[in-house]
Formats: sequence, structure tokens, C-alpha cells
Amino acid sequence: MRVVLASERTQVQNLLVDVVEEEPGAVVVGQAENATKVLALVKNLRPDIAIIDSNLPYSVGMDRVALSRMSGLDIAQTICQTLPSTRVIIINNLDTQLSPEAGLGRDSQAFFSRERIAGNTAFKLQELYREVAISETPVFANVEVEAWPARKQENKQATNDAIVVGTVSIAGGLYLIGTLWLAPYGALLLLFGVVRLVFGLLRKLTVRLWRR
Amino acid sequence: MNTKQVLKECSVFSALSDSELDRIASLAVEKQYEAGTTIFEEGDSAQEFFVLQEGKVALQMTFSERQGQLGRRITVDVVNKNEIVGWSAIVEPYTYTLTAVCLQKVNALSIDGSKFRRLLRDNHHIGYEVLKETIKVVASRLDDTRQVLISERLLPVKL
Repeated sequence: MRVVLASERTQVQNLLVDVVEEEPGAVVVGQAENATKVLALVKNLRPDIAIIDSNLPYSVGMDRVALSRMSGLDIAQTICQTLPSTRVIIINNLDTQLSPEAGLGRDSQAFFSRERIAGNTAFKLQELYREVAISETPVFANVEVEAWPARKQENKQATNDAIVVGTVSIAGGLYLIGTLWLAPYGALLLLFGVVRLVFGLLRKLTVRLWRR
Repeated sequence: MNTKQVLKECSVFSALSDSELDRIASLAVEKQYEAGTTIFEEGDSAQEFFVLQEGKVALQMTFSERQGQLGRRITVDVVNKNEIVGWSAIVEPYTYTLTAVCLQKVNALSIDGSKFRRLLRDNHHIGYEVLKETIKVVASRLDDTRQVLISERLLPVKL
């Protein structure tokens, strides 16, 4: 699944890249900072999905004119109208809910959600691509950033601790073995370190696979 | 939040008394729209006057296809919470001059256009205050549109 992104701010583009590339099979093939450029990219690259910040300048951002950043919706409609094989997602909350410095931090995760009268629903690009057939109207969505739950953070910390303790124990064990007269204790410490390290790495791998 | 409180927070109705707000509130119903919904289109008969309680609405002008240029819509303003949409419902010829598209989930008070016009005609104080404030909104939107025209000339889009 090939994706083109458009936002005036580099930080927002980076955040969107993180969210898109969390999904298996999704790859960002182009990034644009204004509506003119994203239209050219979509025309040339024919991506499966274009994700567009609603707060987008038409050509070059004119900092003194706030209203010059209203082209996101216009260009999303133009793409839907002229290149209907590209699904267009317009993101509305990037100017208000995310600070200019926002990014996908170590303790947070971001995801797409659709605002509905009944309530917001999270969605994956794959699901959207399957659900929405060739569309003449853009899909309106938000990007939500949420902190990892405390338990997940504790697990992450425990995993990192296991890796550090394992590595230090292996180093200590090897040193003791080197002294020869403390070699039996060194072997035990080495064994302990290997077990801790393997445990930590397996846990990290499991979490990564589970997140996918 | 009750209807009267919503009206009070909107600049168009801020100078009205409680009893006057009650009369307007009796004409209003609450409506909800999902993001992406078109509330009304340019050229439609203006039957409703909206006060936004929540969400954002883009106001778009349609450029018809001409001289090889693609027909498309251009956003000329974005309306936020506590602002009005659809002033055409109280200004002749009662035809919407722009298209209103919800950028986010929108909660709005919808005031029946013909009943509202009758109220403005029959009660001169309400009529004066509402029209005075509405003219400010119209002037501000005109200024916004000018800024957009100045900042971004319409560039040709050829595909």
C-alpha cells in the first residue's frame, strides 16, 4: 500500500510517517508541504492513499495570512474528483490537538480515528482501503496520540532492565572465569546473565510482534 | 448547555435580553452532522440559520470549469464554535452564497429561516441588533475572502 503525505510542518509529516509505517505493508512514497506539490505527487506516483492535513497552504505558506492555509479540503476534493483510484484521507485535528513539537514519543502511540456522531472509532489504513471503494469524497479523520498504559510502560521498563542486568552479568561472569580460581562462580553468573538476556530479548520481540 | 446559553455566547445575539433570547430559542432545534457532511450548497434556498456549538465548518465557493481549468471548490473561510453559518437565511434573496462542509463533527443550533425573518420584522429591537451584528460577520467574511484572493491567486490545475 503506497501512501503520499501532505502537511506544511515537518514534525507533522514525521508523525504521519510513524503512524503509517506502523502498519505492515504500508510505505510512504512521497511527502509534500503544500497543495500544489501534493497534487503533482499524486498525479505522478498514483498512490493508493493520500493523507492530507486540512490546514495546508496552496503553494507557499504566507506566514502573515492565516487564511492562506485552507487548501487541504480543496485539494482533497480535487484529487477525489480527478484521480478516484487514490483514496484521500483528510486529517482535521493536526493544528489544534497536536503541538508543533508533537511526535510519536517513546511512551506514546498514535493512530487514525474517524469522528462519528455515535463516537470516535479507530481504524487501520488496510481496513479503510478494503472498506472504501473508489471514492469521490475524502474520508475525514483525526490522528489521536495516547500515552502507553502504565502497565505497558512497566513491562517495557522490566524488559530493558532484564537486558541490562543480563549483559552486565555475562560480562562479570566472563571476567570471573578469566581469573580461573573464581571460574565456577563466573560460570554461574554467566549462565544467569544469558538467561536474563534471552528472557529480555524474547519479551521485546513478543511485544513488537503483538503491536503489529 | 441549553439553547439560550448557546445563543448568548454567540456575538450576533449577545446584546439581546433573556426574554428576547427565549423567543429565538423557541425557533431553534439542535442538529448534528458528521465530518464531511455538506450542510448546504451554494445556490440552495436558504431555509436555516445556524449557530455552531461545536466543530468547524469550511465555506467553499465553486469555480465552474472554464478555459481548460478544472471546475473545483475553493475554501474562502472556516467557521468555528459560537459563530454563525447561513446568514443568507435572513438577507434577501434568501439563497446561500457559499457551500458549507463540516471539517469536524458539528453540533449546531438550526433556526428556522422564515420564522426567524418574521420575528426580526415584528420585533424591531431584535431585528436591529441581529442585523447589526450579522453585517459585521458578513463584512469580516468579505475581508477574509479578500485576504485569500490577495494571498493566493487561483493557479491553473491541469491533469
